[in-house]
Amino acid sequence: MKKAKLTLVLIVLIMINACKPTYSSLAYDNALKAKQDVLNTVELSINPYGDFVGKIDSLKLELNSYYTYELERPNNKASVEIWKRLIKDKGVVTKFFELWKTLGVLRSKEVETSKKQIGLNFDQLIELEQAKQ
Amino acid sequence: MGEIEITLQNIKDESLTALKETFGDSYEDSKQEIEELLKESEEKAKEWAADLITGATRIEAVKYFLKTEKSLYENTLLKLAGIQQINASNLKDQLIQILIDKLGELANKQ
Repeated sequence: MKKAKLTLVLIVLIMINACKPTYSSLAYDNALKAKQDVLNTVELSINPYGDFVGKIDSLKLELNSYYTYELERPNNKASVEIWKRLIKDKGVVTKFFELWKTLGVLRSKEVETSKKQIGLNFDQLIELEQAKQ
Repeated sequence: MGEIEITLQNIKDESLTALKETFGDSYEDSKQEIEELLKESEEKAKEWAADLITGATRIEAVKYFLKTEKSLYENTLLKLAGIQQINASNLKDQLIQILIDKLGELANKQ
C-alpha cells in the first residue's frame, strides 16, 4: 500500500515537472528574422512612406504569424507580452510606421535612432528566448 | 532518527543547496541591468534634446523615441521576470528530482 502511494506521488511529481518554459529554436530564429526585417524596413524610411505600403503590409503579416506561434506555446507569458509591445497597436514597430506615415520621409538621424531603439526592444525578446536554453 | 526523517533532512539539505545555486546572484544582476538602463536613458535624453535643437530630429520623432524608451523598460522587466521564472522552474526541476530520487529509494526499500 505504501509503495503504491509513493509511486502515485512520483507520477504526480513527474507530471508537475513537465510544466516549464521551454526553448524553441524556431521562436529564436523568428525573433532574429523579425528584428532584421524590421530594421531593414526602417532603413527605407529616408524614402516616402507611400512607396512602401505593400512591403509594410507584408511585414506586418509576417510579424503577426510569429506572434501567433508564440501564443500557442505553453508557459510563455513574458515572451508574448514583449511581442505585444513590439508589434501590436501601441507597439514600437506599429508606432514607427505611424511616424513614417505622418512625416512622409524621415531624416537620417531619426532613422538611426529609430533603428537603435527598435533593435534594443527586440534584443529583450531574443535574450529571453536564449535564457530558456 | 527514522528513515523518513533522514530522507526529509536530506531533501532539505539538498534543496537548500539547489536554492543557493539557482538564485545566488540573480537579484544583483537584475538590479545592475536596470541601473545601466537608467544611466543610458540620461545620455539618450541629452542626445535627443541636442538633435532637436540642431534640427536633426523633429519633435514627432522625439515623442516616438520616448515611447520606445518606455517600452524598453517594460520589455527589460518582462525579460528579467521571464528569466526569474526560468530560474524558478530550474529550481523546481532540481527539487522535484531530489524528491523523486529520495521517494524512489524509499519505495524500493518498502
